[in-house]
Amino acid sequence: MSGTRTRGSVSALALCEHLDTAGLLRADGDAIRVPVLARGRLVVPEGDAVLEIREATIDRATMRPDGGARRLVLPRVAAADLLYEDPGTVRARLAAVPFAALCDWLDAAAELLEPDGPLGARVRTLVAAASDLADPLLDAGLRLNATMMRAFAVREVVDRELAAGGVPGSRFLDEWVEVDAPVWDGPTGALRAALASAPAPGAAPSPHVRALPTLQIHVTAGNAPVVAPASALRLLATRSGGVVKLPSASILPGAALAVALHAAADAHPAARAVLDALSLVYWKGGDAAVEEPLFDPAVFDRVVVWGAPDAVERVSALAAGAIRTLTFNPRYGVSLIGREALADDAALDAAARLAAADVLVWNQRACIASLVHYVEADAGGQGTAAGGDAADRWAAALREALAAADRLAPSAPSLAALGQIQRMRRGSLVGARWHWVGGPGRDARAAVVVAPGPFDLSSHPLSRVVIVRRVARLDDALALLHRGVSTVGVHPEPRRLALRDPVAARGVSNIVPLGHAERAFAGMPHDGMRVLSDLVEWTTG
Amino acid sequence: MATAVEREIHELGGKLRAAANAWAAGDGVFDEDDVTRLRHRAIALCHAHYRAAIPAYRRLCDEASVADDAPLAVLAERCVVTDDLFKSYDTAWVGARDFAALSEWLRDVCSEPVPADAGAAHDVDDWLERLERGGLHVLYSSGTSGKLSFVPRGEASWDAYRANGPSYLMHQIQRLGVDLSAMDCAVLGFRGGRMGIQRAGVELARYIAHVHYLYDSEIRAEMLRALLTARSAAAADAARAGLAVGQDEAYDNFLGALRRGTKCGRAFWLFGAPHQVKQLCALMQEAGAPALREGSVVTLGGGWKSFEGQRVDRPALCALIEAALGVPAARVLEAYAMVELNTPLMRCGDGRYHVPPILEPYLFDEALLPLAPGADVTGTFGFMDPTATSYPSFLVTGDEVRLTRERCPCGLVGPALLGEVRRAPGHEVRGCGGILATVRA
Repeated sequence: MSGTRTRGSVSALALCEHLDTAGLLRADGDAIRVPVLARGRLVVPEGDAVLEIREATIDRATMRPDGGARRLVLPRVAAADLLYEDPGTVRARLAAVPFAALCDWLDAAAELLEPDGPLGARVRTLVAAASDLADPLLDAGLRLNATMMRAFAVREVVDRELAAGGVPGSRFLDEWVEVDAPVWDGPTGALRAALASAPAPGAAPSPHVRALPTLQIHVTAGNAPVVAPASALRLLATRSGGVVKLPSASILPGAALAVALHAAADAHPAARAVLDALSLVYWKGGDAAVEEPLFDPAVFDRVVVWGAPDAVERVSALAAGAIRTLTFNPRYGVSLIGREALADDAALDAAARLAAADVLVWNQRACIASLVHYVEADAGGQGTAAGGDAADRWAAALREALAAADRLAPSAPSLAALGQIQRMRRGSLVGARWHWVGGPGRDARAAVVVAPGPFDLSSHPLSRVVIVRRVARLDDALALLHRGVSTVGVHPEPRRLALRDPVAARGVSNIVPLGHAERAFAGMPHDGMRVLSDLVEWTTG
Repeated sequence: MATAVEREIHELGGKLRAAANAWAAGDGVFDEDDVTRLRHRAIALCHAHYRAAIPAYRRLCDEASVADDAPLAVLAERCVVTDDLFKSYDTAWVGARDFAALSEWLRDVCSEPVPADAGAAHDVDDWLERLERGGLHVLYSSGTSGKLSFVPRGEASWDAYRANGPSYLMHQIQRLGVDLSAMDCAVLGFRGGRMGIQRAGVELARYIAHVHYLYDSEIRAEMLRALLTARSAAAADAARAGLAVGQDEAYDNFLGALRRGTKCGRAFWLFGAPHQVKQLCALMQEAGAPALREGSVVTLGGGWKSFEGQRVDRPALCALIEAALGVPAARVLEAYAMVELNTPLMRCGDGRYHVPPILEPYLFDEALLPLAPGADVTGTFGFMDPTATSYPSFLVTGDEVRLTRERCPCGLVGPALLGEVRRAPGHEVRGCGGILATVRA
């Protein structure tokens, strides 16, 4: 239970008292002093060596800016604080940490982060004040941040994602695993035997494989409060070391993770090497003074970058081909709605409500969230008798579903998104038919837009705005799918099964039942990659 | 046939031009209150006319509950359109040569009759020519997106487009002591065509007998479209084959014309986009070409657009122009213009783009709501130009500007843009949910 001492570690209550004493992670006027973690050391903002991030505060009733602002004050870190003098020794120390000890430490940190506990509640209050996520989404996100760090969850993910030949992944982290496979000596095998001065005393030692830790840099995105903790957890789950750059748009969940990991470490000395190799920090993206010395291929083995095209491009250039780089490029989701969904009002309502769920994912800021709906219908045919074009019937039903969602999980576009919606309405999509939730103009809370032609996705405001396009056959939408589409939700299920192969052939990573864009499971590939497998160094010995 | 409202709007436009003339003359005749009343009356009439005659505008008004008698503040908040309106068609129609669909789209955003035979066009240039023959002048712009904007003007709006600038610019030119009869004109562009950025050079050439063009041919929309949509260097080369000469040869010829004119004692009025003038200066210096004759003038227009990477600030560009062309900064003119605007803003010697009293300027915040007027406000620039009746000319741009209403040292009164004009921020793609900038779905 949160707030009580667990396995000798600090309690969440005591941790909060410590934070209070230090004036950290609490609203102090318009400022919040935020600590970060630099190679296992908690660093607090002091003096002039600080960075400030301004955030607009939100009226939680309307989910619109309330005119207020606050400052997050963070310590300025230098690249030297994050590099390792002897990377080989660091990797060796990491490799010696038992996976079970790692899991125990993460479990203790997860306990501290539980949303019902003092630290979780404290962080929730701070995050909520400037978050445009409705309570149900925000609470689910923060709970997920704690749950995914639980020992059972980490072990499940590692055992599945790093598994090979029926051997659970954690064994590969802990030990050299004998390979149960035929061995080939190579073209020189016969020569070696011929050159041998004496017969070999026995069979050659069998090969073994181990998943060794790496040193990683993760440049994360702030589109959801779970991204930075999830990326950090991948680093931790591979029992690796490195730097996680927190995103300016979601600093506090990462800072809370830093505090929890640090606080839990004393009671878990066997995992100490992982904490000592870990940095959870912030610098302004593009700060050459930090980034140029940091991206050193003599130190780091992997770079992971999430987010906007400019960030991906910049970070990839920093890695310059010398550090293996995993990029989670900007992608988006779409929905394919078969004509069965328009068969009658009940089917329409049910499908629209499923589709709305895929729109709500992090208010459309996640790469799996659906932005475009391709609706299968004949031109002016099915649905016309019901008072409108089929696409408009779908749009009207979806508008109702989004209105219902707004009552459950209210949301309002940011000022910039509102401006972008107005630009679309009065420009590129002036010929479209708009179905508003909340009304046009400044009252808009969501919108469904029946577009007469192709839409330039670079101008999408990502704020519960759905572009609807009619297609004569769902197959016609295949031509509009490509590697930029991460997720396709298809309805009804028989159509999904029929389309799964051709959709996958376009480079789409997830083909899911409508309403299940966020579906996940332990060991699930991400953007076509088994990420943990790419983050360890598979070594034979 | 123009309606009574349209006729009244254009009569008011004539009065606004006269007022702009008085404003630019600075001789004390200009009455700001009086011209404001005229302008507001013209804007109110424009709104009613747009609402009656432009289907897309009508829909916006209906949705926003805006009636004919809506006050100016309501129009600014709910009825300004963006420049994307003029490219809100489906590019597939152009690719499929479906000019009937393109004409139908034009009817939606335009108050003028669209000639029926335009639908039978075989390519974009043919479509534009058919529209022109039917009395609809359509200029286009490639902007920064690569998709052509089409801006239609009937005769009255076209006349205003050609007359507004000269009504107030001539005073600035006179103050420079320009003798047009002793000048040749040199345009870093095409001899003709309907591309907006080219029109200023073409219009300038109306006042000067001898004109040299970088390309002595008309720019064709199809060629531009092919260039903009080229997916490889080879495809771009193929598209450029439509030009009679290559760029290097064109600049060589242009330099030759400048050299010959200078040798004959002719001053030049040089017109070009900043990146072109910069390139010309570099070539002049490389070739050791003589400076232009005293009395020459350089006019910059069109901004840096996709050549943003080559941008140098105004003092640096002026220094380069003076070093290479011998034209001092005081004779380097610059306009803020766009194909959707009948009324360009000229930059004065004190670095301000003055808003002529024909225009009602507005600044908008990131939510696209009008900012309260003030002595010195920064925001996204927009305007109402009540001399355009063919299309909704209540427009918000994508440019971030600083608008001051303080009196300029140059003597001009009224609002002016101060400092550099930049693209407005706020359109960055965000986070993991950001999307590929070139993807269409």
